[in-house]
Amino acid sequence: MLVKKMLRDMREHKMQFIAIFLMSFLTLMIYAGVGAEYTGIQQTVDAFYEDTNMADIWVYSNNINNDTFDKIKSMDSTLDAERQLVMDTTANLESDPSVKLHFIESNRIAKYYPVDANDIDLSDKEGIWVDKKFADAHKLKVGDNITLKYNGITIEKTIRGLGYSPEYVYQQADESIVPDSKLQGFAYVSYKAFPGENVPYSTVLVKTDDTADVYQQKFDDRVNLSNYTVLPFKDHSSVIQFQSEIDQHKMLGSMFPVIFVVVAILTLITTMTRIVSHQRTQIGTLKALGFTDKSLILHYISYGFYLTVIGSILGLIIGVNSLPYLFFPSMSSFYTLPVWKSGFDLSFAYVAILLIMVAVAFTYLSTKNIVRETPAQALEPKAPKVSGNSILERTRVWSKLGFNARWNIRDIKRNKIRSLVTIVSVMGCTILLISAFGMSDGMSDLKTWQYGTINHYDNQLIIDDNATIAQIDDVAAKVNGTKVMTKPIEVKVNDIKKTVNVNVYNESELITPTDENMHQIKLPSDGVTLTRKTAELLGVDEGDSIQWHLYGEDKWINSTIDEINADPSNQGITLSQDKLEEFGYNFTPSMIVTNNEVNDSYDGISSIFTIGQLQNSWDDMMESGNLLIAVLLVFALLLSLVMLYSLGVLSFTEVEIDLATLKVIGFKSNVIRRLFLTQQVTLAIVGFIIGVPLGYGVLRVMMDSSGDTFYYPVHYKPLTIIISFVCVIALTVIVNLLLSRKIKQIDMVESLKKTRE
Amino acid sequence: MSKIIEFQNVTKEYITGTNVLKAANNLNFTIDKGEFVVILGPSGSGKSTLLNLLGGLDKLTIGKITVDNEEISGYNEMQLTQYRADKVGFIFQFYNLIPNLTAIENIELINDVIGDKIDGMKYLKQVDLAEHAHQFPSELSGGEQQRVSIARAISKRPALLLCDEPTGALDSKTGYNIINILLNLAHEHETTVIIVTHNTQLSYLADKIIHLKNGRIEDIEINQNPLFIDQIEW
Repeated sequence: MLVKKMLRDMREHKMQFIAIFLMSFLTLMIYAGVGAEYTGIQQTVDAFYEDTNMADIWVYSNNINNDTFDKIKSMDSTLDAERQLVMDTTANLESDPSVKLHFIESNRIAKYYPVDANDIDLSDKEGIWVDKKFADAHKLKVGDNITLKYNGITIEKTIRGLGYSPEYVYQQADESIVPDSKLQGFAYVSYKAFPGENVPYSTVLVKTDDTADVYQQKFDDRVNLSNYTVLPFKDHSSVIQFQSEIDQHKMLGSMFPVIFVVVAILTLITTMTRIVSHQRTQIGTLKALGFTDKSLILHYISYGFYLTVIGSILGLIIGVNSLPYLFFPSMSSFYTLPVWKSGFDLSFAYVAILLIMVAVAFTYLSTKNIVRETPAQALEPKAPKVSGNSILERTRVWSKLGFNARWNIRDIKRNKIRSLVTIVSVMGCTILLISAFGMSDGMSDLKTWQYGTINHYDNQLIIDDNATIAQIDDVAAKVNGTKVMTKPIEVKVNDIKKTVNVNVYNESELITPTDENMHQIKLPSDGVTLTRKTAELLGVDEGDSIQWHLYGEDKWINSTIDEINADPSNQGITLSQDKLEEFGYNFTPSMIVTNNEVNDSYDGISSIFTIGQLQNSWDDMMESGNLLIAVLLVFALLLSLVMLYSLGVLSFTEVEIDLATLKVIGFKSNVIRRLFLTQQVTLAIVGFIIGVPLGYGVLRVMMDSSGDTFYYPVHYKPLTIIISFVCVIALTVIVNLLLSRKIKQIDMVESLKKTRE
Repeated sequence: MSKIIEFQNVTKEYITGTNVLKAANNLNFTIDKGEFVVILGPSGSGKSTLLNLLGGLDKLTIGKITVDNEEISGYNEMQLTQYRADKVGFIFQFYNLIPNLTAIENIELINDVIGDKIDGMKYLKQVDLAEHAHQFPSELSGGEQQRVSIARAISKRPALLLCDEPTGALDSKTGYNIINILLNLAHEHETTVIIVTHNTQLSYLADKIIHLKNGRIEDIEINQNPLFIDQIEW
């Protein structure tokens, strides 16, 4: 019978119970859904690296002969090693795509991952195994022939299989800013296919348990090689690129849903507590009938239990199986993985259990509080608290206040908990909305900052690696452009090391650096400037000193930071050509930027990008991030709606009797409505005002934990605050107006006979 | 007749801040099995307190209450719950039905307490409400709701039926019916019925009348020849 009572209670107060269900559903859906996306990708890529026995270290050198290779293999810390020759070839296909051709001796480390037809057969001199995406883009099939050219050598082979490679999860041709399978690909052939006697191996793939630094030391001692580079797994360009994408998703996708969980728990607590306290006299009656405390507690616990269990489980299942698939199309156009599937993390289940436990615990506590009283007490309505006159009420101002103000001040004072709950819930909504809108602002700011404030050129000419200084100067003069050198460097402060860029250019109107507030600043021509993001990561500021060196050069340079600038995507140090040369480095520009019209027939230029192309690729790159923010925003709005609604319903039921009394006394319905609305809106405004700075605080924390590359500015935009304000207040007003329409329908006699619950 | 209830020096104090309120002050009386007892007194005289103590809804401060040779004033929470489930039926002024259970369900709710399988319809027939079995309390009149409440109370065949102003919210004709049912229970089924009221007319029907004032017993009247219900002007 109690089960029947519960079901009917749920039907009667369906909105409150639907709200509980929706809160747990939405929270789990967003938490698990977003989590499942990056967990799934992370798990897939980890498994991919595991399956293909991804290399731990790459050693690059000009010529790795048998003697050297034997020495490498015989090192203690080398668990396994494999030699390859990797050549940048051009395929004889439409738009002359570049193909990285691997001549391999064995296929044990960073193995080719066959998808279509056979795995690599090292005895097959005529066969080639090709990048599946590249083949698809060029409509190549197994059995087709492909012709590759390198420095006048032509290699023609028959495609034996199509597949993927762990080294090419992300690949990007020099001719394009974003991955484009029409323009780039990779292929494997057997060392026997090499057109010559001895293969000039250039790369060694190593499996080791040592870190890169330790390995390099042992390598120095053991192997006598004058010119070589050691690249650890985590710094491999494909690995770095993909991992930073996953990290970006993790950043956006882990912080934000945590706020969801916190806000949902708050609302869940207040809703469950209040549902129980509304049943006070019924609990008294049931006790008088002889129901045991235990059976009553169990009865009320089941109210919240079933709904949160069903809501969380459904949310978890639906979230995990829907949201990740929104992201996979844009992700798979950038990155190559054997499968794109959603993942599962135990934390999803923990959050579900947490929600359920919270609902159960707080229902338990509030039921316990009532059943602990004697049934005689529980049958009576709870005695109102005595509240003395406050200072305000003793002043003259009080007597001048209208009835509305007085009634509301007294009411808020008498119902401190209820008022506090309203304020806190509105605060939660505000935090959700401000941080969601703020993230979306941050993303669009990033683009205008990058392409509106800092970079003003129309064209970017990428300089060929083999271009001579004369060629570069010639082109720069022709297009009246600015030469820019961007190279990766390693910076070090105490024990913190970071890989960033060094940007070298002379003062120009085409590139104008800015401070954190996106205001243009002039960089010192005889000094070193560090970006804010890197300064924060290293824990330094203006006037401090840092050490850095170009990759490939051993000499560390000591510099004092003369200025701090801020840049959305290019972190590191900026200095002039003279300053660079003063440090003993050569100025080797990597691009020329210009506002002039350009044609594509300059010597020493490998490719040209217009600002429009750059912006498009920026959009492509940000697509999944923007999608993620859009999803979070939608959920923030939904959850806010549910919360504010359930809040309104609960508040209204609590004041309903007071309002009915006022009606009996002779107040007009619209006066009473205004009374109720004034209170709700006032509390909502207070909650909003407290919520805004907290929302920005949360946003700041999220942005700061966004990895090493991107610097998201947090700006207080009036429009964002206004939109959030309108959302919160409009929802509060609409919900309460809908409810207070009921005031007209209040049956005065009935509602006065009702005791306060 | 055998003694079923005995109050010995029963005192109940409520402490609010620095005030001590004696809602029941040194009460002594006995009630026999099957008696129809009326407790009379103005508001605040301690009527409801007496009933709550007797029904195990509240605990006394000093004294001893014996019901059926068991000292219920020494019971702990668990024993009190069991006592309410086994021996006591309550009827309240505002009926206290569970609003979202139908009439018959409100009665069969008792099955969850006594672990029995009573037939709600049988008791509804007894209070002449069979045709309203599947209506919700809000669809019933006050008198009908009170009859459901009586049916619920008697369905577990309690030794005591405790009624707090059972006719307080009803018009006189409906009240007459309710009292009639209660009288029948006492006289024909040997149920001890105790009614708390400030309606003095009921005293003409009672076997015993306890007058309360300011928490003390003013007088205990034994009515040797109670009137029949139709002898009273309603």
